[in-house]
Order: sequence, then structure tokens, then C-alpha cells
Amino acid sequence: MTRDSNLELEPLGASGNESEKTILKSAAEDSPGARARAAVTARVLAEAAAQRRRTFERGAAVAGLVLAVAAALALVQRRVPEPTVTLAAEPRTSAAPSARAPSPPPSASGASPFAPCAPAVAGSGQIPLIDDFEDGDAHAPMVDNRAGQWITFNDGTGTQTPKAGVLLTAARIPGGRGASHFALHNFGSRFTKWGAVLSLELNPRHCYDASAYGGLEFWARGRGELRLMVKMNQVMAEEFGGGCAHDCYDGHFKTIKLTRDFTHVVVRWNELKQMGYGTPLNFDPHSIDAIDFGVRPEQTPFDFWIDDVSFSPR
Amino acid sequence: MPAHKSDSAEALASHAALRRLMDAHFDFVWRSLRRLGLLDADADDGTQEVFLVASRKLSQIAAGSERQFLFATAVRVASTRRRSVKRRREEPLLGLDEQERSEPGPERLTEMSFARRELQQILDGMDLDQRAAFILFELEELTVPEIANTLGVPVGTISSRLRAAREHFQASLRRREARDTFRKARP
Repeated sequence: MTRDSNLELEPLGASGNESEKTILKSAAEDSPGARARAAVTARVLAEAAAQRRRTFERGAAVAGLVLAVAAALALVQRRVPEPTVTLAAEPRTSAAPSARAPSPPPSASGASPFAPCAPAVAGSGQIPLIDDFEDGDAHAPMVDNRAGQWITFNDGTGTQTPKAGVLLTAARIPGGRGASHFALHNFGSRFTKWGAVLSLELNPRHCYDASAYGGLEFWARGRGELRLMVKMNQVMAEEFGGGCAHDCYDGHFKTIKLTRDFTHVVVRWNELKQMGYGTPLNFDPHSIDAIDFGVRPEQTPFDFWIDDVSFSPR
Repeated sequence: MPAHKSDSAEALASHAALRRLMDAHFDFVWRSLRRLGLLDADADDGTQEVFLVASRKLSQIAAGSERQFLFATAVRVASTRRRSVKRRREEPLLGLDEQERSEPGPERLTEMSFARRELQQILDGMDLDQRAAFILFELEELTVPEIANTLGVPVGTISSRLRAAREHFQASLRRREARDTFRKARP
């Protein structure tokens, strides 16, 4: 193959002697290991998502600053007409400019029975997939104004793997599930208080308006029952930025019966109910703080897999 | 909100584009970094660095020129990393001849993996500029103008670097063959 007539050179792989050909050919055999490839890919995608998130948060901060400046300017301008009126020697009989009636507070997208947790960020309803775990990490990418970090926590009476507080990674599905090769895997021993949870904390605000979606769906397998709980900001304790003062964490849930093989589970918002020990609230998807996959003590020991977690269309 | 929608779509597209870029060129970048002188673990880290740079500049990478961009980035990353790992790199190579004498290397290594080590050592003897030209021409099969475009230097410069690199390669190979012949002939 003529490669470069100006240079009048043929690649040694074609024109060299046997030693040169052999040694150059050997270079094609050098390749990264599958594990290294998966790990590096996961790190790059996670870091790139984090960069986008930081950019988003910086943008939000700048937008907040702009709004604050605009508000300050508006206040200043509102005061300006008063001396102008005086200087123009308007008749004393004219009515003093009355303060305008306050504008209604900006609502979240759509009517909500609750005060939205501020600042809420709204999903468009166009990008339902939350995390397919194929990047190998446990960081939900920044899409449709949401990101998230998967974490585990429990009541401290048993053991949970991966442990609470460690950085989670997705696990390879033995044999795969169609085109899917990675999922979150959680298992553990017996718990005696309230159990163990695999949770997605929605960022950046812990307050996601998912009203453009109709529910949640995912693939799951395991044994026993799993509790899908969607926690509104209103049930989260005030100390964690929520709106609950007492009897908190009474989130809305639906119990899922797990099967040996992966099963597709769809849960509509209106299927979610509270346990009832806290303040009674109808579920409202305008201010979601977190999505939990939990097991109660009576369902332990436990072992479950979760994959392709997604919002559902309305 | 339209702004949110466009932000989200952009983020999703960016994520997908980065994923496609990594799927298509991961091995190329990793191999290039190895050939540019990084050890396996450093090549992993270097690959991560290259793609992180790419993730920040995705919108600036013209379609069809991904490999050029990635290789040019890999050269810069390798250059920086080689400085910090130079000492680590030299130590095992200095001991390699001794290892070959004391261990039945060819018996334990396949012929190709042995050849790969030989190639790596020869490449290690080139300076980074010659090495980049040699890798792109001999191993990645780019033309000289393509290499010039990739590395941002004149065609004539690439030609002279390539000639020097090939002379080094052929001379190194001759020396090694002479050494092996001598060893085999030694009682």
C-alpha cells in the first residue's frame, strides 16, 4: 500500500524484514484489560457528569445572584418615583402612589397542595431514564435537571453489603440481562428495627419536580419483598432541609414482590401510600427528595438487584 | 421550562457523545499512551485524563477528527506523566537484561508478548516527537500529511522525525539481533 509518495516511504510492517514486521505486528496485541476499561470509563463519565453538575450549580448561583441584583434594582427604582413626584410639585390632592398588591408567589409547574421546596427544579418529562448503571458507577447522570448519588443506609442492627457510607459501584449482572450488564446489587443479614435501604438522593437540590412524569419503573430481582418509597421533601426532617418537624420519614411507598428472575416493575404515583405514622399527606410529585428501595426487618436476610431505574411517562 | 429542557437535552447528548467517543477510541488512546511510554497503570490514569480533556472540549472536536484530537492530547498527557514517572520507568527497564539472562523469558512469554516488550523498549529509546511520528505512521497507519495535521507541525518536520525514528528502530533491532545471536552462540 502506497502511503505517502512525497516521503517515498512504505510502512515497515509492509516493506520491512521479518523481524521488523513481527515486532510491529506485536503492537496490535497490546490492549487494556476489561476491568481497567470499565473502571476508567466509569470514572470519566462520573467526573464529566460532576463537571456538568458543577457548571449547572454555578449557573444556578449566577442566576440567583442576577435575580438578587435585579430585585435590589427594582426596590431602588420603586423608591425613585417618590422624590420625582415631590420635585414635580404634583397637587397634594393627587393620591399618593399606592403600593401594588403583591404578586402571587411563583408556583412550581402546576398546582400543588404544598409549598414547593425552594428552589425546586422541574423535569421536562422528556428524559425518563434515571440510571441504567452501565457506566459502572452509582452516580445518576445530570439529565433533565436532576442528578443523584446512590447510597446505602440501615438501622445498625445487621450487616448490609455494600456497607453504608462506602462509595457504591454497579455490579456486573451474572450472565447479563439482555443488553444490560450492570445493575445495583444489595444484600445483607437480619435487621431488627426498621431495616436497610438502597437510596437515590436527588441532587442538586434534594427537591425535584417530577410532576411531568407519571411514576417510576425499574427492573428488579431477588427474594422476598422490596419497598419502593418516594420521599417528598415534606416528610424529610427539618434538620436535613425538609419540611417535617416530627414523626418524619413517613414516605409514600409500594411493596414489590421480588422474583428469581428480573421483572419489570411499574409504579404509578397514585399507587404510593404512607405507612401512616406521620402527618397524613397525599403524594405529590412536585418535590421529591429521594427514591428508596428498602427492606423491612421481616424481609431480612435479603438479596436484591435493581436495574434501569426510570421515571414513567404520564 | 424551555431552558431546563434544552439544558437537559444538552447534558444527555453530551453524556451519550462522550460514551460513544470512549467506546470507539478507548483502546486506541490506551495503546497510544503505552507506546508513548506509560506503564499499564499510568496508561489507565492517562486514558482517563485524555477523555476528561475530551469531555470538556466535545463541542470543539470536529466530526472525523476525533483520533487526531485524542492522540494530540495523549502526547501532551504522556509528556507530562513521563516526567513524573521517569524514575519509576527506568528502574524496571535497567533490570530487564538481567531478568532475561536469569529467567527463561521466551519460554514463559509468548512470542508476541516478548516482541511487544522489545518494541516498547525500542520506543522508549526515542524522544517523544520521533516516537509520536513513528507510532502514527508505522502503527496507526496515518499518512505524513495526516500526522502533520494531528501534531500541528509542518510535513517536512514530520518527515525528518520519521526518518530519524526509523533509523533508531532499525539500528536497535539490529543490535538486539546481534546480541541474541551472540548469546545463543555462547557456550
